[in-house]
Amino acid sequence: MFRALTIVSVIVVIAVVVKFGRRLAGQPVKNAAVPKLGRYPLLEALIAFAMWASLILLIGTGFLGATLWGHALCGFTTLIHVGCGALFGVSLALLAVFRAEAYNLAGPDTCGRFSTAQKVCFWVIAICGLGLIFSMLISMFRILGTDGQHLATQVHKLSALIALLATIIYAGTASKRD
Amino acid sequence: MKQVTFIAAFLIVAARMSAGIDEAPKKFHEWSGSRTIPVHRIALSDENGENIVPQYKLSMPYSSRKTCGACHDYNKISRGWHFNYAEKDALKGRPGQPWIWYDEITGMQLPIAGRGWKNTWKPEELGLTPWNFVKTFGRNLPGGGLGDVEDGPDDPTARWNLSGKLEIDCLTCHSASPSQNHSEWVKQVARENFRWAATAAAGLGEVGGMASRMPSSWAVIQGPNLDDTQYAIAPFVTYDTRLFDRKKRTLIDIASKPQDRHCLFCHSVAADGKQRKDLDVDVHTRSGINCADCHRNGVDHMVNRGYEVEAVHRGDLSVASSSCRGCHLGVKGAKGVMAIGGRLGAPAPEHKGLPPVHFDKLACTTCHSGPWPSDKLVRVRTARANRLGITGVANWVTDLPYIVEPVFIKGEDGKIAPHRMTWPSFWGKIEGDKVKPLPPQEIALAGTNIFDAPRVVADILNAMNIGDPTNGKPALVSGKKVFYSNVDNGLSLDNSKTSAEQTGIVIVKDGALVPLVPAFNPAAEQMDPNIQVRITDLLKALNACNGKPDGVPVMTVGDKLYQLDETASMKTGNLKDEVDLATVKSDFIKLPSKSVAWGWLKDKKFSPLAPDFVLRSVVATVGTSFTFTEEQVEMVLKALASGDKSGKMKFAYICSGKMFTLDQAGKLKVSDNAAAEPAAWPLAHEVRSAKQALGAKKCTDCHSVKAPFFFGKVKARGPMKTASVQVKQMFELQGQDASFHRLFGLSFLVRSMFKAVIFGAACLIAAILALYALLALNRVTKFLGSRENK
Repeated sequence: MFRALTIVSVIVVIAVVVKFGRRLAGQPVKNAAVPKLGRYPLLEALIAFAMWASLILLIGTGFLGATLWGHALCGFTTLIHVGCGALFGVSLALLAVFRAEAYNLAGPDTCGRFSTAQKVCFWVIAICGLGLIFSMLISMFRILGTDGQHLATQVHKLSALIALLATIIYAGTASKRD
Repeated sequence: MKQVTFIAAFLIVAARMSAGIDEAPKKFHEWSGSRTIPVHRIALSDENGENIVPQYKLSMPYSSRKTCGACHDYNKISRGWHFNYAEKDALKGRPGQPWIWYDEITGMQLPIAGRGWKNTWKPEELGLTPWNFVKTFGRNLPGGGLGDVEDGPDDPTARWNLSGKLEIDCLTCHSASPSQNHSEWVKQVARENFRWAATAAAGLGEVGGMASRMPSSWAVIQGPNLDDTQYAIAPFVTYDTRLFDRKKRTLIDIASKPQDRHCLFCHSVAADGKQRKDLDVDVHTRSGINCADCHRNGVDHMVNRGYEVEAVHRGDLSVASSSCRGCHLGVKGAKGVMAIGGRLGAPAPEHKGLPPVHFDKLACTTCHSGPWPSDKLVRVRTARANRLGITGVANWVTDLPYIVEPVFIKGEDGKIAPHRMTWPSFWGKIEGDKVKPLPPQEIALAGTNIFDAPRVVADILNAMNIGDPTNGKPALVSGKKVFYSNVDNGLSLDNSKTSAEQTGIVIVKDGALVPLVPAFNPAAEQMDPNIQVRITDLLKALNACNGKPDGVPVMTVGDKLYQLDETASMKTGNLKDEVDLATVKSDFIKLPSKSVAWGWLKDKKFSPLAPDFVLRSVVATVGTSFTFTEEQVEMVLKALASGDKSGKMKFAYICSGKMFTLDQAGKLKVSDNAAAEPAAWPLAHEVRSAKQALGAKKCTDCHSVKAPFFFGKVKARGPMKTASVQVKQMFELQGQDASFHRLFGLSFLVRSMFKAVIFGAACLIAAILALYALLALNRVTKFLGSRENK
């Protein structure tokens, strides 16, 4: 079921991005004054890179097995996934500190660094990240019974799927933005 | 014509009617719904269906087929799990404990199962006829099966006409009487008194005589053997008439649900070296649940074995509710109360903090049953393999076969479960890449004078035990160990060690070693008459020794040799004149010898009292659980090869997970072979409490770099003392990746830190989300407020 849901939703989202990507990217208004955007400091860039890279690895390790081979994580993939999970959690938290203001939905849109779609995606990823982290963290403590563990796994999987879709939209709209 | 037609029609109708009468299905008693157990005050019937008159001296033993079968469907019962092992279409099911055909002398231990379980042999593959099978394993059979077949294969050794059939002994499980005696059953089976075994075991009467001693021409109808009242006494039963009423009925105390003690007679398992007081019983037993509460059956006697996929194997979903999961968690796919679980008050496990992946990969027993995994596997003895629980004068318990637990390997359902494991040991001939076992009789013949090393020494020691002034007992000293002959005409290792380096026979008195012959000067012209008498007596004793080789006994010291002359008097000669010293080849005796040496002399050839290999074998094996050495195996393999007239046959000894053969130079060669792979079967009891479950306290019970669960060593062992044994680690047997589990185990070293870091990160994200959520809320309230102001 989850496998089918993943495949269908990913295809739909990719199609939406392809079709409506430019619109979602929110192009700047013609003749409008475009503010000069400087480069991010190295540390911040590194944190962002770590977050996106770990997110992609998490998606790869978490979804490829589940969608292509239809089985859960096993072997070294688990170790990579868990390691990347920690990196993702930490880098997402730090990035949230650094960029929360930049991704502020109340901030400038069309002439800013990020489109509204990207901002929404970032906050969706942050919320899902929280779900991802807590669903796994709580299962590591002697709190949840078997049913709770299954529920935590479901929360983890759904959060991951939503984060995956948000990532696709973020990446898709970012590439279409002038 | 009409008359003929009428008569023919009448005959046909009559024939059909009579056939109909014969074929009319017998009506058996069915459960009425009453929960009481009917009082079984019944008359007994013998195998011919005749009522038994207990006062009659030539009464036959009772027959369960005729007595119990009068009301219960014997034929249906005989297809139950305990009896259908030899049927071609019998359910295979999950592997259980195989029978182990054990022969101490030839070092054979072969796992046998009629159901074709992995790494076991079927009886027919080994040439085990129903007769031989019942003779070998009947002690733990409940009757029926191969003991009760109508037409067995031709077997010239079978004596069914004397022994009678080994019918199902219903009372062996269903008796509630304290006089039900399984040891009596074993005794009667050993005496080939098959038809009498159930009567004796039930305590209905006293059974005497032995069918095994009767000439094969005897038949039960002939009654007592009037020609022999001492040895070949025909089996008979003398009923205890006090147990019968005037109508010749007796009260059979029945338990419809078998009592645990009856199950445990065949299904007991105990760790080697443990005392009874050290044993904790299964948690289910402690809570008042009996074996048959879970392992229950209907009239078909297909006992629920309780493993998870049994319902699939049997095509019956209701069976699943007797498994651990079915009882505690409910049956997947079932409806109603069966789906809920909690049967018999079974608590629903919480499994707090246990990732669900464990339920996909592990059986319940992995964490909850058997001994706690440690670096060393636990050696266990089982009732069926090691003959436990048989009481009487004789000692039935055997040290081998060697069985260990818990070996964590994947079962047929792909889940890791704790198993018991044993390695086959047998002599066989190599056919292609397979090894076919040879019968132990053939091997015993080839190994004559090779296998019985302890007996050879014991015979010599017994012969030299002629009584002497020192009042000590002769003993063999070798390798700083002292060996003495025991009451079973074998050898025992004395616990006291000696610093004596020499090998030889001495007198042991109060722990002190005294020479067999007092020291004397062989060069002296006159010998002490007492010493002369002593030497003469010892030489005479040796001359009468059991198994004396071809030759005369001699004693030598210095350059003198002493032996008996024609008149059985001692004569002295010069060593060099009497013995061809160049032919003396022994690691233990060098001639001329400074101390007294004994041996055999034939054609000027001197040989020690016991061959060197015998001494080496005794030193290596006596007092241990090993039976023989590599040297002896090499000798037997050579003997087998020399006995093969074609010269093309290749022989092997399978032991300790390896195959031993002879190489071109006639030396022992070790290799791997599928025939040497171990037989394993899952264990389920004793079940430990949840608090004592594996991983209940910490994950590192299994997930650490040295956890026995993954990295414990499983070392094979067999009757031969050898360093070439199969050693595998658990992860190999499980088909797991060792480096992954090491790395995963290492990850638990930093797991606390990991949890703290990501918890901190999660809190930070949550705080930021909360902050912006509040800001958003602030905006909403401002917006709503400003609208109101406008």
